[in-house]
Amino acid sequence: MEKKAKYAKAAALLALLGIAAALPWLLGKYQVRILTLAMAWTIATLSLNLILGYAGQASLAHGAFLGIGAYSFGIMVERVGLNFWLSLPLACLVTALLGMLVGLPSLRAKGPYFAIVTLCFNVIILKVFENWNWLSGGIQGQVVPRPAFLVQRWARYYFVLAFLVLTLVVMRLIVKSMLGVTLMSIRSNEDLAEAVGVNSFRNKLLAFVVSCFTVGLAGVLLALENGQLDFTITNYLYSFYLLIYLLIGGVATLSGPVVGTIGLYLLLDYMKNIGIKGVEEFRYFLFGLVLVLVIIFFPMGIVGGARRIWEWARGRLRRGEAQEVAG
Amino acid sequence: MTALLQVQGLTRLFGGLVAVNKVDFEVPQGSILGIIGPNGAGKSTLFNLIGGALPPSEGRIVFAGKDITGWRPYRVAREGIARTFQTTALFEELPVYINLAIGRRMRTRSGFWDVLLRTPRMRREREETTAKVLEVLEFTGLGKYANEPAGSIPQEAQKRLAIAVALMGEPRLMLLDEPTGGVGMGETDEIIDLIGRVRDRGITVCVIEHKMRMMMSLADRMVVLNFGVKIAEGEPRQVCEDPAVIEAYLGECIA
Repeated sequence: MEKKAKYAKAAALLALLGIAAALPWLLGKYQVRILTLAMAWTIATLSLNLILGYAGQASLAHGAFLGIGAYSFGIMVERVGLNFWLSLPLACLVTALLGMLVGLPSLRAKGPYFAIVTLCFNVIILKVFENWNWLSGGIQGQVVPRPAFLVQRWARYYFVLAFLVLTLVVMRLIVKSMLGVTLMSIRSNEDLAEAVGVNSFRNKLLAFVVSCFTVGLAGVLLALENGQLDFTITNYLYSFYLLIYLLIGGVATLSGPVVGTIGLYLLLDYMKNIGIKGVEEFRYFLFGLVLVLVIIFFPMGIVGGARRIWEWARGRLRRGEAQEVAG
Repeated sequence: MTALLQVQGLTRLFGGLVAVNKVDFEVPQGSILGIIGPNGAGKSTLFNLIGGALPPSEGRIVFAGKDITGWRPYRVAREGIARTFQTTALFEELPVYINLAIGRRMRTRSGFWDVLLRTPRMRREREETTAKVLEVLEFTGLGKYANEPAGSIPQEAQKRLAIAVALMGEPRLMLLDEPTGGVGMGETDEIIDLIGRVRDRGITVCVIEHKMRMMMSLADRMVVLNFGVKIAEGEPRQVCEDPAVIEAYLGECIA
């Protein structure tokens, strides 16, 4: 039975991947672009999931790191003239390194204090990019040249899809391992984790650095898709968007960030283009309303809620079977 | 018998309050030491000092000949001192077997790259951890709860689980803070039996308890604290009949 479920799950995932691979041939140009962006944002949400969902540290600096990754890449490719395949990992490494410098002092603060410190960092970074024109390119912004093989829209779609799958695989390796369990122990009870020999600071720092590396990657992919950057990419609002995608999708799951980000991104885009005046202007208000409802009724997000309904239904079925047998 | 743990002149101030005041005692290898005293006597603070959760204001803690005064909790744990907390601390939303696996983490060395590359070391350590989890589940009789979230199992089983998590790191000394606290009188036998068997494995134990009768049969020696000061020390019988102890705490020797 266990094995059967495992195969069923693998088959479902493969089918999903097949659908994702077929979509560029079925959809219009605009939808392909929106899906590409949504997948890049999903990578960012997955990065927040590692530090917030698993290690329990609410970082509100991920908007800043997203922008730092994007700008590092743009500057390396366009101004320095570095090779594309060199710039991509280097931009992520720069983001990870800055993450480490930020994490070293800030991860000593716990709970809401860590959230406040990281939010402050994000506000500072936004102001820096807003005012240092030599860095951000001012009003013109920063051009991000694409390599020849990414000129086609569908090529970029597959490129981002490949990185999304890679990110999911790496995240799965991490969270299903002793390392993932160690992170969850810190989230669950940091004092006890320390008492059983877990160096909580070191593990939190590791999770934060890996998370920053990943959000840097998301930044690079967004930069490539847009071909153009300005200082608003470092906006702290993005930190909150990621938080909302994650909370609505479901924290500490791997499918939650995917469902939450892609679902909400498409929904918001739909509301923008629906052509009804009120909806377009109030879509972020609706966003907030959805968040409140999800937190009240599904504290573990859509994926957590779906799981609970599934278990409830399965429990009823089993009880039904048991009664039949007993009767 | 040589002393595994030596506490010398240990003092902790909270502002003007002296929570632990120049306490000295030794715990011989392989014995059970009972620590008793009225509420607020400084018993839990004493454990927090030894375990590294609080730095002492003065004094020294020597474990197996090594000065561990002021060490961080995770280093103390790796040195071989495991502890449980008064308000049972568990990783509540995680299954029982995962709680145990976390207790083993300090004895494994796999890091980020091992996990990413699935190195032989990681696989070996994973197998070792699984074997140890099964052994400890058996030893503590928690097998039937293995897949339940730790916070959802009965209170008495949670108390045993806290000890089980402590056992996973193969400690040499175990500090148990009220291992039967919050458990009904009729349900304490299994926990008491477990503590005895932990000692039989060669692990030295320090227990904080209020249940005098239980301590009489379990402890080899006892230390009595009152207002942060050690007021008596010795064999359980001797301590129970000590006029200072009766005055401060017991009222009469009931055991």
